[in-house]
Amino acid sequence: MKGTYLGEFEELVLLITGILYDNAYGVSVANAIENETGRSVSLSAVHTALYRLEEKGFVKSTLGGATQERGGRRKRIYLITTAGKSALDEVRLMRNRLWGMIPQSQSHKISISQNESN
Amino acid sequence: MAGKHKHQPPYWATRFLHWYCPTILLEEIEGDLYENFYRNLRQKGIKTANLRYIIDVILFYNPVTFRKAKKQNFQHYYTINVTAMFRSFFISAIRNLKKNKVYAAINALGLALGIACCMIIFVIVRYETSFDDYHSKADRIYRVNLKQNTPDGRRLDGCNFTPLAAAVRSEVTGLEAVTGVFCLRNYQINKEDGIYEDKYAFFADQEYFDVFDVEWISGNRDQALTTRNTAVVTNEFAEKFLGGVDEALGNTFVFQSKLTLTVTGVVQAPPTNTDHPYSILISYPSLSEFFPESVDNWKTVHVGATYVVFEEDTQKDQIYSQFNRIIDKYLEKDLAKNTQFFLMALNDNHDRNGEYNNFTYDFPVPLMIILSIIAGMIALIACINFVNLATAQSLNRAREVGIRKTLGSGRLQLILQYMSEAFVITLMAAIAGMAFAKLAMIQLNSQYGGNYLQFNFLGEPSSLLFIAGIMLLITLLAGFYPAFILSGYQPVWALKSQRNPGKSKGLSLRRGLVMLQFVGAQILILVTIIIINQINHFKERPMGFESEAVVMFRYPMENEITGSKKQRNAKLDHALRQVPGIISHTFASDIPMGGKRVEFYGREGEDNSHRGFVNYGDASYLNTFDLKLVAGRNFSASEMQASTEVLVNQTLVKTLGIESPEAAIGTIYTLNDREVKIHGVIKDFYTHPMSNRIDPVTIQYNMEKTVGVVMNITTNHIPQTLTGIEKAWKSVFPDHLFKYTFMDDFLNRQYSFLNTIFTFLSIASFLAIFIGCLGLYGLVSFMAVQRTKEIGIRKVLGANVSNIMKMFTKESIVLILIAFVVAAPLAHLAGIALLMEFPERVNPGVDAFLGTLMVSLFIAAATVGYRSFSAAIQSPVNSLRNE
Repeated sequence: MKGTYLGEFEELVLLITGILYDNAYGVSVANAIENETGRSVSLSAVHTALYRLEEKGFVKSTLGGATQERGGRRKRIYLITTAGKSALDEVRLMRNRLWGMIPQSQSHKISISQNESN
Repeated sequence: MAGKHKHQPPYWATRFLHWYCPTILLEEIEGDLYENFYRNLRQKGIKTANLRYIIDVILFYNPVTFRKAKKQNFQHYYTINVTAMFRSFFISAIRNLKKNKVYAAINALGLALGIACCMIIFVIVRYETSFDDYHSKADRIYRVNLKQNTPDGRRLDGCNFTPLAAAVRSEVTGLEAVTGVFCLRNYQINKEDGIYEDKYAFFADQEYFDVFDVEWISGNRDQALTTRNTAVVTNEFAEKFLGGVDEALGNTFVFQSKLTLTVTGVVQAPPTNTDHPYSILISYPSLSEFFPESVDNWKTVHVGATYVVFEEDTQKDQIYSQFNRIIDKYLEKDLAKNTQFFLMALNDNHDRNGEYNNFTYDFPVPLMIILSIIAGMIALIACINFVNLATAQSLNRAREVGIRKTLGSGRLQLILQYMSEAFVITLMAAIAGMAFAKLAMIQLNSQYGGNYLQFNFLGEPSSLLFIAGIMLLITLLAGFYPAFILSGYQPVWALKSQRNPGKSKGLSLRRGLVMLQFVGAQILILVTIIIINQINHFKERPMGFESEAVVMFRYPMENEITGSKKQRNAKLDHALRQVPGIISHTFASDIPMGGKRVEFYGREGEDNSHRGFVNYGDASYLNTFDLKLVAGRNFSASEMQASTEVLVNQTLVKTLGIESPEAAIGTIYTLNDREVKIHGVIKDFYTHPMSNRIDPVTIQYNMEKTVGVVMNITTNHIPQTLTGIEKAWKSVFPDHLFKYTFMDDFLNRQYSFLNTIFTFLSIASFLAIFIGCLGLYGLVSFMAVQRTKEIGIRKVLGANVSNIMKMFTKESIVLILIAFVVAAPLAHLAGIALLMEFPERVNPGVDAFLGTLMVSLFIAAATVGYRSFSAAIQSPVNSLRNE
């Protein structure tokens, strides 16, 4: 199972890739992360994560879409695969299950603290 | 967007990226970096943008990037591209072959013949070297061979004293098992319903089964071969003669009219690649009844052999010292001094140069080498065809190469492409070659009684390896040079002009190769002629005795019949006189060429011994063989004292130092410790099949020592005469099958080794010259097409057909002449090497060499002439109009 383990950052990148749908590539993913979470991430970190996700089979990629600002270079577009989606599902289900196991009094607190951090 | 031109990402960082980043990932990474840089530039200013860019470039330098690149690479080049590339190679190869059907056919046919030769020789060598390998103890089984110094020189023998096995068993330690066998090559059995014959009966003892692998079908293995008059038969024998395997046990039959054998076991017939191809095994104790004089006989060697199995850690040396003890103990002093036993590994025995008496036959290593060389030469000649035709065509394909190169094909890929073309042809040739080989094997088996088809060619890993190896070798040999040349063309000139800058060089190489082919072919032809010369020189010389229409038979062995020999001979003599076709017949021990080697001494007072032959016969001996008396008289027909009066040849008279044959009459000399008187002198006849040396010969009147009858018969009505002879035989030997030989067949067998080489060589030289001419035909027809226009122009300007034919033929003729100059001395040397072991070598005359030259010139000229003629008669209108 080691191969399909989804790290925290990888999970984030995978989610963003899903959100961006057919416009997910290095820069757009990095920007989206910055915009959505306020975290500043390096481009190479995103790339590395995407490569790893591809190795695990959660995303697949094609070359395409050259733009002027890239100096005419093509980008590698990533698409989330079914395996990727079900991996996200699994993570969410596990979270929900764990969530449900927290005693009621605390759950409130945690939910508040999480909201705050967002 | 405006800042785009003003600001660029730091140059050195980009350089660094270019340096490390795998090309395959560079585009996407650099694109992302640029995009990010400009966004940062717009949003956060140049400083931040630069910093981020540099940090990102450095951070991209990590293992995951390289891992990704590697994976991507693999997917791109190896999974998709390479299969597609090879498929495209094969498609274009097949298209190209389809386009040039003639060349493809010539190449494939030549290579197929070459491959077929190699495969046949491989099967033969593989089969012959596999003899007796199948026994599970094969690497520990040794045959005890005999080495004796005799007055005639060193004698080696695979057969040994019959009681040796028992002696070894009781006196030698360090052996796991010892067995003695005694072999009858041909035998007959009598049953109620008739007389049958078969081959290879072996007397063997119980330990035979401990030494050799024998597969039992029924019967008791542990008790087998222990009691007198019992036998173990093979399933084949049981089916042939005893009504099937199930019926065999307990069955009885009469062996050689002497032993009544009871079957106590049935075993699987041995494979053919063994020196013991027995059809029945007879218990060793029966031998004392069948052939009493061989038992406990430490003087004469009969057809028996002794085999031992070493224990795991036994060394040869420790056995040899014990052998010496046996020699000292059992052999007479004189014999012991000159006798040695030595061990030879079982599977080594088959490939000796006829030095040892094997029960079956020898297949000498030199013969294997000769055959392999011949096969290799033919394959090489076929490869040269391929090289020549491919380079000849290279001009046509230069444009193809140019375009391929322009479209980005690398040199290695082009080499691979042409190699795969060669491979396609080789593959076709291999398939056809296998079919040829199979056909040839069937022929070989039926003609020479070989067992090569038993060899499971496709089931043997070694032979599959061999096919793969030979295909690879031929592909490389044939394909490498053309691939190398073709792939070397520069696209610029290949596309621009028709002219091939390497033309003269390529052409001279092609000439050299054609020459090489004809050197090979002519060597083969010459060696063939040299060998047939050698055979014919001795075979067709006047022998000095009659051998045509002479029939011989041996009568049954002494121990197999009852009654006195004298009576029987008289009866047989009488019966043969009634047969109308017989001109004369004689009871004899040997034919003139041959006889028993003896020592004889000169007149009294002379101590020098001489060596010569002695033959035994009767008064008709001279008449039957048409030997001429030069002095004295023949034996008188019925003399008792005739045994002390002998006939001798002129050489013997000379050896004794007597001036003239007339003076020799009445001379007394000592032969076999008895004094004999010369009664008549006969004209010399040849005494050796392969030498003109004539040895002294004595012919003595001695009915007791004759072994058969020789008959000179009339040449017409031969079948009736033979039936008559058989009837006469039946009246004297009703229980025995009649078997006869024609004397010339018998004499021809003396040349069988050379005859085998001769047959192979003549086929090989035919193939070599055939393949060579195929290539020549291809070359010329290619040139004819290439030079169509030239021919047209020449004809318009007044050349006639013969001019144009000359233009084409001249070169080939010159090449063949040069090839002959090279081939002649080489063939001469090869001939000397081949005939090394014959005492008298016949040097081929000039006519042999001239003949070869003429034949190869004629064949080549005919091939080239035929093709160039059809090119030359083309109307120039057609060739010039065609633009």
